[in-house]
Amino acid sequence: MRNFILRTLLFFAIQVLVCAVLYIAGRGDESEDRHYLSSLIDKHERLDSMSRPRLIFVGGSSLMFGINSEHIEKATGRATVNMGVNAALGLDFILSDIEPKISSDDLVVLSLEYGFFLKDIAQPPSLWHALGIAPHNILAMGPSKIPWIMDNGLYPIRQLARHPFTGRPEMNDLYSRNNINERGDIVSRPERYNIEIKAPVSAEESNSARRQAVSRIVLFRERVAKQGAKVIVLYPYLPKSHIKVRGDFYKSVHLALGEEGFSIVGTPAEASLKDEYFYDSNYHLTTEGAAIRTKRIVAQLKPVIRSMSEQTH
Amino acid sequence: MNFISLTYALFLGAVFLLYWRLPRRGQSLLILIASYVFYGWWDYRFCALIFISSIIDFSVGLALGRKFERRTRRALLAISLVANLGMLGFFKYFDFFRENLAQLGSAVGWHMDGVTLDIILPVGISFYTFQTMSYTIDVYRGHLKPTSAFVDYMAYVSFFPQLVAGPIERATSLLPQFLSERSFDLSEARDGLRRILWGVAKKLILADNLAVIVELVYGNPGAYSETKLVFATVCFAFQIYCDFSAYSDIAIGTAQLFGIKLMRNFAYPYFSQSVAEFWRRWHISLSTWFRDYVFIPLGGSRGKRRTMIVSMLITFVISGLWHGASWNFVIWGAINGLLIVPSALQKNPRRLTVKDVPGGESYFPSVWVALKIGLTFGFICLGWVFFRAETLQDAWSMVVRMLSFWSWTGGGETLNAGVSSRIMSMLLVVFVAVEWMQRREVHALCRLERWPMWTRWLLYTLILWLGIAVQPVRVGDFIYFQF
Repeated sequence: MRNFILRTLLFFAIQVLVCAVLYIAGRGDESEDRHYLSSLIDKHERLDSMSRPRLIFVGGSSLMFGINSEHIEKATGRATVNMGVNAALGLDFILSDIEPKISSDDLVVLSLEYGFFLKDIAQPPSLWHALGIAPHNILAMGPSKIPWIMDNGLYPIRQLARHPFTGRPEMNDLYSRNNINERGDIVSRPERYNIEIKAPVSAEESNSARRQAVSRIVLFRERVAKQGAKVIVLYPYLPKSHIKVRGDFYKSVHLALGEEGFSIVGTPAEASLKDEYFYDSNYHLTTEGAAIRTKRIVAQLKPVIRSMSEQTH
Repeated sequence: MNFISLTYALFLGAVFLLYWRLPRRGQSLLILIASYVFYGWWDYRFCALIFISSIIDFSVGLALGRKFERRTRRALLAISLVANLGMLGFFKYFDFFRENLAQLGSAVGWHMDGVTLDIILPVGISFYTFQTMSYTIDVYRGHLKPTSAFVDYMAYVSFFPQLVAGPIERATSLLPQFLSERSFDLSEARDGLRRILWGVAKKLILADNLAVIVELVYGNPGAYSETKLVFATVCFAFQIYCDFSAYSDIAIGTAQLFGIKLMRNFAYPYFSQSVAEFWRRWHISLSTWFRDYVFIPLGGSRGKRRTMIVSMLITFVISGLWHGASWNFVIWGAINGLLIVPSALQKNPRRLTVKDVPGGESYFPSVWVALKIGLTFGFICLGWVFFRAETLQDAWSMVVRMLSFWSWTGGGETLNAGVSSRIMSMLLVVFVAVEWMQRREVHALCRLERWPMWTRWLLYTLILWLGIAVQPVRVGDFIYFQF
């Protein structure tokens, strides 16, 4: 028995050694740095160096592909950063990542994809990449994420095993770190459909997932409030065809957030545009679509910022 | 908890280390607790179902042990069957039967506006209900004495390696193992680890990568040429085999680590020379379950030939329905039932069993044997189309197109599956060759003990890292979890 256990441990030690060798062999590859998820590093640098109070947009790629932060900054007079990268990082990571960085009088605009209210949409490739950049978030995400990390723990090992032979997959220019400006917005994008937007599937509502997501956002609001900042909710923009099909679900999210007393600006139905303003995803706006959304956001945020300034003075 | 995860590796290690430090009763209690943790990892609420099912059969078993008259004993058996099949029926078949009744009603002018409950199917419910029912039936038949050892019985029903996808163990074989002392057997434990490794390799290298091709083609069969349909069907045949036999290998290997022997579930089924032989080699624990508890009670092979054929067809149709609440599975069962009929009609057939070397003794099969193996594989694939297709219409049109050789067109289109069809074809050829060479053994890595340690470990390391490297982004659940 003792012999068996020792031999098994020795075998696993060899595998750890193989892991280490693969890790060393894969170091120095810059493709990881060029990946658009690595823009999180730049976004955090900007967040740290900005003048306060700040306007911070928090969400997924609907923000990165959906607003013009420079325009918002000019119009509102607040230093602005767009922290949106990818919804597949999951709600826990996205909120945990920003929580410790909030300071007094910041205005945090939550624009969260609806998928967060349906299920845990964290995907191994995105989340593991982001955890590689910000490993401290493993602790910040809390014990509820431990099963996910363990269940998906093979993914980073898989990447280690593949890397020396295949390299990291290169993303196209659209999804590269170079295509994201200093405020966190996409710089250039196709101005017409790349692919046909698929017809939306009618969603099976998931009460428990919605409850979980809402309670996590409530916790975020409480933590942010302790630091003297304010949170408001703006909905991500969707094609009008989606609103028609899944309108009831979006409304249920709206009601659930309303019941928790969130400051919500607008409704899901208002946060929509014609289908032709979107391209490779239901959440990714064309330049024209982003301009319309930005204009609307400015109009929605100005009174909020004004009232915050009045309260401060 | 998925077998293919770091979670399971840590869980298994911790349970193993603790297990061999405990006395027999403590071991059973640990297995019981570990099994509920394992199952609750998916959804802790469904642990209640296993608990209820186990309690009912444990109590019925005890009651059957008393000297009641026949009518009372029948009533007790009925309680167990109704409770287990009722639970299975509700969670698995309620929406299916309601929808079909509504369709039938509307066809004759009755409008039945029933509720669709959108019930979530608890993982592995078909497996553990069958396992616990077999206990009661065996006690009722007098094949087994009821046990009063509650913890051992509960551990038998919920034993985590085989809880969610079998092998479906008989109480006569597994329960006595929980009731007796277990001792650590080094060669069994080593073989268990090798078997787990072989299962992991089949799942990661083949099953999950083949799944990508199969999903692509079966998701939109109209968009692909006949050659691609045939290719995807062959891929599915190996996907389901590698997936399910991988689960069985990991389950059996895990049990070996705890000094428990589970029954063999697969015996190189694709080297069978007839459909009847295939069913003696495929999912053996379920086939024998249906043989003993459905086919034989219906008349079996003792009576008239007509009775036997009808019993056989009924058994296969029920077996199809067991796999899922859909007409696709029913038809798949019926097709297999019909394909077995010729074997049943043979006078004095030479029955090849699990104990025979699949494909014959010789290293290279004769042309006649190869032809029979190929033909059997073709027939089995025909059934798999119905098993895998999204709808009956899809299955039917695919079968018609694939069988119309004379009108095959195209075939040059590429599969954007993210995995090279050529590489997968090569891996399949290697896999079939390995299985053929090792077909005398219980599993492919069985006889490696003879090799020097460093070559063995090198091979294990290569297999493990190949599996890790080629696995798709997300390891899929085992197919049979859904049943």
